Amino acid sequence: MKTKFSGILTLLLAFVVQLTFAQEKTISGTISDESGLPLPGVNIIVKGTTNGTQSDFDGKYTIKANAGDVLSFTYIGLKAQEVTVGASNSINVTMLEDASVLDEVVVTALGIKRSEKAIGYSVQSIKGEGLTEARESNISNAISGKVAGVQVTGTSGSVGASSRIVLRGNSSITGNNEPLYVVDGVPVDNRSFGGAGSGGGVDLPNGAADINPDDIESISVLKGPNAAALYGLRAGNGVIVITTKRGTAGKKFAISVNTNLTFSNPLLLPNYQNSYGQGGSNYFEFVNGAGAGVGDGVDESWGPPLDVGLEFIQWNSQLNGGNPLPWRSYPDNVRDFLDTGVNISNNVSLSTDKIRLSIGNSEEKGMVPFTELKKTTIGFNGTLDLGDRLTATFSGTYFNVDSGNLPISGYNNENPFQQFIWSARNVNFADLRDWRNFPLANVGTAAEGTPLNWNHNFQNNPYWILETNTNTLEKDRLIGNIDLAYQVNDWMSVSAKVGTDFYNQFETNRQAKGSNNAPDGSYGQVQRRFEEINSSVLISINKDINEDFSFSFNAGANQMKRNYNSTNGFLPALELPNLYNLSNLQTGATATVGNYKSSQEINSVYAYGQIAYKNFFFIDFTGRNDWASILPVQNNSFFYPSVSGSLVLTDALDIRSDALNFLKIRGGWSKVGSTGALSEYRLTPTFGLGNTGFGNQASVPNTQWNPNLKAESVTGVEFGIDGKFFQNRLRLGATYYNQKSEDLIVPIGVTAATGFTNVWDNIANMTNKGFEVQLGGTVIETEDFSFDIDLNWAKNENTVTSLGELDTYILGGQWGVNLEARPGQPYGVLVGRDFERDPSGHVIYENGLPVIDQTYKVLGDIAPDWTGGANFSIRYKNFDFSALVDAKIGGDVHSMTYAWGRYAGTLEETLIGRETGVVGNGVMSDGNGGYVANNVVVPANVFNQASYSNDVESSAIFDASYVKLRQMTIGYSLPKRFLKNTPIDGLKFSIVGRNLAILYKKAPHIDPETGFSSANGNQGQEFGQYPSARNIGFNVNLKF
Amino acid sequence: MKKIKLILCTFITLSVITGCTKDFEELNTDPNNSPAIPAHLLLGTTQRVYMNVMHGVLGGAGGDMGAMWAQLWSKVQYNSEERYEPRRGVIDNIWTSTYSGVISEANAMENLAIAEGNTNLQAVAIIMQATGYQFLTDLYGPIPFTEAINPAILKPVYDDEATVYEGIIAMYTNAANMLASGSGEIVSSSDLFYGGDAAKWRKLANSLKFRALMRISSTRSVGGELQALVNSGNLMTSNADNAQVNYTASQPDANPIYETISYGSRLEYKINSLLVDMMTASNDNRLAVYAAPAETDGALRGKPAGYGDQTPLPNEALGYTYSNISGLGDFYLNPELPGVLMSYYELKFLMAEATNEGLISGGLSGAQAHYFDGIAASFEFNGVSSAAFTAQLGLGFANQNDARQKIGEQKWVSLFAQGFEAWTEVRRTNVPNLVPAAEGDINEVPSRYYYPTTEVSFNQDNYTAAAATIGGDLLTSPLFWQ
Repeated sequence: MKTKFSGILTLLLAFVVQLTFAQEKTISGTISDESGLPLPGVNIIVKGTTNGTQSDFDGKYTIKANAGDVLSFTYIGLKAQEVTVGASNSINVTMLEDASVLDEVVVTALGIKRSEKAIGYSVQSIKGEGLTEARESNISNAISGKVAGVQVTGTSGSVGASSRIVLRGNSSITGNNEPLYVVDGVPVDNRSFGGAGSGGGVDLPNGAADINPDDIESISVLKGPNAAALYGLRAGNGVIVITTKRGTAGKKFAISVNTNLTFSNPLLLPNYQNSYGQGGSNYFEFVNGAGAGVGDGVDESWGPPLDVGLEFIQWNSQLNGGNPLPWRSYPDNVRDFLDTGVNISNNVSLSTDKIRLSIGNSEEKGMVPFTELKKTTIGFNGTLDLGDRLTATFSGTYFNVDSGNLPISGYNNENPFQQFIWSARNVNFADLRDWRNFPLANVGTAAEGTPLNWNHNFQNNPYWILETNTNTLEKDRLIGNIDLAYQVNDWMSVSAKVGTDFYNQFETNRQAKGSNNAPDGSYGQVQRRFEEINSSVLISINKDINEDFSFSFNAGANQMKRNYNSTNGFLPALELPNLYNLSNLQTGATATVGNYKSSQEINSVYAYGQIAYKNFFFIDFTGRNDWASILPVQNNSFFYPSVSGSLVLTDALDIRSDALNFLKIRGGWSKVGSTGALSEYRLTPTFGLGNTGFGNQASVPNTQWNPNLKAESVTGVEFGIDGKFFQNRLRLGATYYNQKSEDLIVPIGVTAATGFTNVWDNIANMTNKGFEVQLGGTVIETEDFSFDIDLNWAKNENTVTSLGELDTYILGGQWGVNLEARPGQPYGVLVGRDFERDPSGHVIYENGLPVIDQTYKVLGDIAPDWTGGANFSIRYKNFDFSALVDAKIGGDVHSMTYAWGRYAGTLEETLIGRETGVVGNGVMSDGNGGYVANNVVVPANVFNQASYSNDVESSAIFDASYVKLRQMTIGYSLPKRFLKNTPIDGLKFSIVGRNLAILYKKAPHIDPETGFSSANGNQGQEFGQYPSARNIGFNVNLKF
Repeated sequence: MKKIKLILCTFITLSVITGCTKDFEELNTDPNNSPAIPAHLLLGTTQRVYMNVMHGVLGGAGGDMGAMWAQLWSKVQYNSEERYEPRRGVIDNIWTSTYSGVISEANAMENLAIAEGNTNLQAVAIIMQATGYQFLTDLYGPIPFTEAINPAILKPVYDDEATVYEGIIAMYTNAANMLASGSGEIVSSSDLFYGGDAAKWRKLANSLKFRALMRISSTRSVGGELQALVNSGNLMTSNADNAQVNYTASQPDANPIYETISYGSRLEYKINSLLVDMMTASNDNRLAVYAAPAETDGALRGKPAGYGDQTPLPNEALGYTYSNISGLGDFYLNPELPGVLMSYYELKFLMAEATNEGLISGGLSGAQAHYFDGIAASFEFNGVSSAAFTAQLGLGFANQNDARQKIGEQKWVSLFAQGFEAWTEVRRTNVPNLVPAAEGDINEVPSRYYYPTTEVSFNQDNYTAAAATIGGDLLTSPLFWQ
């Protein structure tokens, strides 16, 4: 008994002693990943106890431990670390990648870093490194082919062209279908204010194009509503989350210099014919370029044969004493018109472990002469430790975009490519460059007062247009945020964040007197100011319930305030030539001046959290409620929930083996929203007031507003599987999703007999279903040599399921073709006229010419059947090589280049039957109600003009499939041993190329990846496209 | 305690942020446009839009599918409309602009004028609606009328042409009566036709009614109403009464003919040989105003309607080239050329016809007097003396048939820059008797436009029913007054 008692006493004493004398203290610190970014959600346990915690949102943690205790830091996908507690109360840890697991850490909604293993939806990311070598000026283009289910459409190869991104198909009828861009937690505006369309206009870069690729650490693509759910009303089209580079933990001072120089030339040009020149007969004579001579009034090439020894008086005879000149071909006259584009970009960044500064500068000179774009960015970001518990992080980037001239695209006399289609194949366009030494166009012609050109009826000298009729762009932009985080205790933190996207933009458009479009000249300017401020607070709670269960919960609120205003002025006629100022209005003409102001707010509260069981089963939930000012008061509140789960089978069932390293199944359900095309002040009618040449006139809106509108919604489910096999040599990810967009806001077209042209209502529904597959393989991996292939493939099936009572909604179009949304069809069908056909489908001819069926019907659609990409990377010692091929298969495009090129006799196909006539391929009436093969010969020009024009559309619609060799790089990194005794950390030299080849396509003459701009209604159509740019050059990256 | 404070603070912040949705209504009030306006500010809008649509060359009813179909003009290239392949988008646009930019605005003006107690402006608004409807029914046939411009009816039925016409005539009558004893100012700066002169509006209401009655004169008896109008003495009495928009020197408020041909440099628009031949034969010195000398030899030379389908255009062999055919004369390419809705000379030719047909009193000699008044006024409009022309022998009427031909021809010549009206009157009277365009898509001059393609989408059942009543939605389906 005594012994027992004394034993207990001894124990008790020991316990008390320990209680009294143990060196227990509070340890705190920051956990970051290899790139220096704070890492939340790291499990910290005092080894051998149940005492544990998790790092918070900013990677901070606090835990009580004794000196000599061992702290264990674990995080899925990263190498576990153990640190023994010493004298210091601060332990900072950098978690390293665990090559044996290869579980990626991805940035998810609100910038939250998560282990890929733990998330229940598909997120794909791109590392910043890949963006700077084979560089795209427009970051949106750089995503092409790299992420499954992302469709990128670069509109053209001209500088400053916009680019359109659609994730998992279009989800709104009339609203923006592009994802939300978020940079370091701050939504940034991706609008393009370009006026380009089928009728011409300037395409301006989309907002995201400002972002400097050198500053990007990673891009996360939140494709579906599940991934994007935390953005609520703004998540309807998915989100692109961009994380910028920060200082590197543990690195005292680093400098990185990147220089990139590439040259652009056209990837392709139409195949023109080179056998017949301008005119319509066998004779030609240039008198005034407007019809006074023979054939000189037309911009068609049905004239005399070239290169057969003929001589005629031509446009340039005026420069040669009026003498006839050889009537010859210039097969490369369009290529020779263009310059070699030059793109230079330089970037310098300085960083410590806490702060990074970056200065970037790029200058692009376009292939189209006298076009250019310059960009400068100055970025800084960093972290301030304000005591033990308070941390401030901040980042800000200033952008300056400046262009002295951006070209006009679409069907417009100012688009030089228009006069290469409506053209004279005997003209060497490059000769027109010397316009300053030319006589002026003849008096009385449309081009009177402007330099000599080969035609004065329809065209101005193209170099003169590009040099004098300039379209400028200046933009100053600031994107930044400040984040204050406070660690309340070891399981709770609060943070507050303010971010802004702010810009001023100034655009001018000049047309000199004598311009075909503006005989008296014109001048317009627009000044825009945009500001969006997001303020948010967040409370985060991380708790391990016991060894098996851990739990995190976050609640926050956000307020978005957006103000926009613009002031524009336009002079339709100038008094003095060459003075571009709003005061220079021609007497008697009326200037248009206007301004527009708008403000809106979205207030939100949200919560999200995760329950994890034994690190192999995870449940995520989110909920967000938005209140939007642009919606009617009674309908302005919306709740958006989501839930997703993932189960790591390899861990749960303990079936991990050499062949099966990792297997996870996941699934989720979510609902997000959008305000679609609804903008401010669209609920109650107002009268517009305009200043016309007749004085002030008011107008009644053509739209019947609707005070009962509500937000659009996107509800989706997705399921997926991720696996890694054979020591991670084979990696597979597959996702199936099914998304339903409902209550889509559509300005319903109504007969104008109602007094309106449209009525707004929530009437449409649309679905997007599809698969995304990513397959990665490490074919060879040795110390010196590795070969990786990454494939991605996605198929999206989009259907407009309902348009209410509407049969169709017209999104856009050119000439006779409409781009429409129709129930039961994919979004974006091409509607137009076909030829009349016999029961077997042959075109019916009458008098040798095809008969046009006047009914409008669906002739194609712009939705691809599938998209995909293949990335090959090879590393041999210090060399690396990569190649990216991407494909878009299926979908259609309507090409007016083709239709007018055949009409005007400039394309190769128009050579058929020039001398012999053409017998159209089809049938004609046998006189008894039946059909026999057409056998009527008609002249080639009559045949082409009857078959290809704005009177029939089917003959100019083509399969828009393409496979492109999107990029290739060959790099050499100087071996470290050479740099040992230098301050240089790394030096890499690369030869780079973008848009190197079209490996496969069906549409003749054009690049089927095209659009007049990034707008919904400008897709699937083409006329006079600027050729896509093939960029080849080199990149040097130097690190100190 | 500190923690609790912090949590409290955070939640207060949250509730402050989310609690302020109450100013959303104010935030969403449009600072750019006005919720209310005086009625007169809509008047100029209806007049400008209407004349632009009526006289638009490429994008309206005046040129490609007006003067071209009346064979006053012709084109040496890009002439598919001339060959009766109309541009469907333009047809859509004419319908839409007239309903939503003319009739709907005039309807809103009428309601505002009623609220203001301004009966003069109310009458003007009724006239603008009536003439808009007449324009549409003359282009398309049956149109939405009784159920039109009603926000509650998104799919209005089409009314037959008789219903539309009787409605229009009643509107003109009503407007003329209101103006006879009207009150309220028509703000002169807003009135592009008459600078606020209510008396002239009254004459216009009666003159438009005269024209409407003449148009349906083959369908019912109109003599009594016409005679009453003449007896009232309130019809146009000179070119000063013309309802016209005096265009400004600069686009976009210049005459659409100038804007397309000169400003837009579409030089393929030329003179038709039918007009040139007729005017040359009758020594009509207006021809030098209508036509510009051909570049090749300075001659005034036209081109017949059509070609370009089987025969390429421009055509050296036939001489149909830019330089060989006369374009429009400088007078008609002047940006400030008025856009005429209805002129005194057109009224006089209609009165000559009414007299010749015995619908109003005066007999053959009375008809001839109206006819010479009309010619003189047309010459005056063109700034040319009619003395030499009218002094010619053989201009007077031999008999009723001769008068029909001569009145029709002179009316046609006088409507040179009113392509829609010229084509409409040719459709009604068959004078001059046009040979359909060579290589045309159909073998007759069109009777009407197709309905807009948008009607098929937006109002299909009513469209289908209306098309069935006229024998199908064809260019050749006759209108009821034909």
